[in-house]
Amino acid sequence: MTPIIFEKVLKQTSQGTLLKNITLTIPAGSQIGLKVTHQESRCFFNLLTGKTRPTSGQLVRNDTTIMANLTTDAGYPQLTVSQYAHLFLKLSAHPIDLAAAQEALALHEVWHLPLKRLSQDQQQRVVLLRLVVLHPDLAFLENPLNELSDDGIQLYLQGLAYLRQSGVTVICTAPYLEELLLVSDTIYRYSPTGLESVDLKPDTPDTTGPAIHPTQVFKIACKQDDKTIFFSPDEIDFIESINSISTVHVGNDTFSSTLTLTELEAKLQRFGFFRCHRSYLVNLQRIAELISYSRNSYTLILKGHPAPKLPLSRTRLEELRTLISF
Amino acid sequence: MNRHWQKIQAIAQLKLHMIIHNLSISFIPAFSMLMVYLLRLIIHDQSTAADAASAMGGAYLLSFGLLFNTVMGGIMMCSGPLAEEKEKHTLRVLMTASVSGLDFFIGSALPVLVIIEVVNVLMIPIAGVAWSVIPWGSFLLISTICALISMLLGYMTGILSKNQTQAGIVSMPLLFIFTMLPFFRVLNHTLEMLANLTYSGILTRLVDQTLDQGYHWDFQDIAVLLIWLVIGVGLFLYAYRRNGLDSD
Repeated sequence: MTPIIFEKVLKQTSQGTLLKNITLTIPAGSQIGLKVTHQESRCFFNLLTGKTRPTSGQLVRNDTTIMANLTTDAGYPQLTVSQYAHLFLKLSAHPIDLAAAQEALALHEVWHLPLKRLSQDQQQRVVLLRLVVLHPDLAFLENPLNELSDDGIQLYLQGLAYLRQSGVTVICTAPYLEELLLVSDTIYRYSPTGLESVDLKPDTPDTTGPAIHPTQVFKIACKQDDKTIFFSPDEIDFIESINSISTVHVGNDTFSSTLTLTELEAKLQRFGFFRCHRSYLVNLQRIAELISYSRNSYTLILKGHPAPKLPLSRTRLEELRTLISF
Repeated sequence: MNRHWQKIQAIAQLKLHMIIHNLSISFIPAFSMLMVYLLRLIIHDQSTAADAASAMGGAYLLSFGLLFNTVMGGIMMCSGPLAEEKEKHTLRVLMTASVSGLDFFIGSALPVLVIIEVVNVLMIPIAGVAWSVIPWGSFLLISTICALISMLLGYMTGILSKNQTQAGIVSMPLLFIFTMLPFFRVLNHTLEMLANLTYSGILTRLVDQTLDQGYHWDFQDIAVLLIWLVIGVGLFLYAYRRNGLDSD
């Protein structure tokens, strides 16, 4: 496979800009993770397969064969795993050892069961079996670990490794970084400014000098259902106080924090956050414009789509001027 | 060529499996045979005159069965599975497995055509008509052309629909026109004239004439079948070019 190259690709639809400033090279044999929303993932897939063309920018993809498993895809529920595998084996020009694949993907126990009777874990491995049989140049997997059990994840990762052994390039997309960490070697996070690489280098202890303990580690903990989600300050766009509850805005998603806005202000000030209004704490790295609609009212417009607009108190304007020198 | 034939075989097996396991579709050929058999029992009980009445009953029953199976079966066995594939997004998976549109349509059409033809032949004894009176060449040719036209109309509705429910609704007027019009041709002359201008009307004319004085090809039958075949191909190509196979 020749590398697929995205060069400053922008995609707009009637609903606005979906992807912007995408610069990415997908080398053969790589395993890339993209932290994107569902809509962005689908837009990226359509660009990748040539179903839609970029609004601007360059996309070089030559004759790469791309196969996918999207979250909306279903199998043929009446077919057994064996019939499903043989169907795609007949369609494939790539000879494979089906018994070895069956073993590697831990599907021998359900080989003669119809797909509709398989668990979610097993169905996801059947998808991997299809990809192993068809052997595309690139496999695009959307939320591959979604709704899998712990054991299911372990078996899926073994199956994914088996798929990669045959030289298939893999792109996984998911809205959560923790999912991508398991299935990717390289991860990119999409923000309205473009794709940013996430540093995945493992920490190597420095044995030559004294042990260094990090003093600047800080995460904002947010509760969602029975999960606690941690955000780095740079992921947060702004924090809003609604009925005395601090709501953290990350992209188009919102999460509740147990801390008050004043507590958050105290903790986040050193990370470039600014209390622009009694109810708002903004990440100064995210601001794009300052607009004055009247003599006494100011509005901060943030990057993103739709671009959030936050009020800026007149009394805080001077403070902001000092902070970012304009 | 071998690769293409292998893919067509794989698609044909898959489609046959889908038709057999989809009761709302597989019931059509079975139901048409059952209905003809039950109607035959009723007509046989009420018929006192020997040959004439039984010949008329046979023509009526055979026309009924052929219309039901060829028109309704042809349209629904093509539109339903195609719409189901689009609804479940399995078609995209197939198309990315280097299956061309032509491979897909040939593979999908083969089992449907075979089912329709086999049931049409079985319908003859079920309707109480002797195999010896059937002009086999004309019968197989006309029923095959009619089945192909129905299938093209079925694929068109499948392409234009997003799911099985929509496919059912879109195909309803077609089913009504091409099944009911020839069926009610006996009610008045206008209906008969209109029925003779439909491809399904030619199928009933074939049966009527076969069991009356014997069927002979005429220019009108050939012209009507060819015109409907061209219309079917045209509508199918229009839908395919407009929506493609895997439109969302």
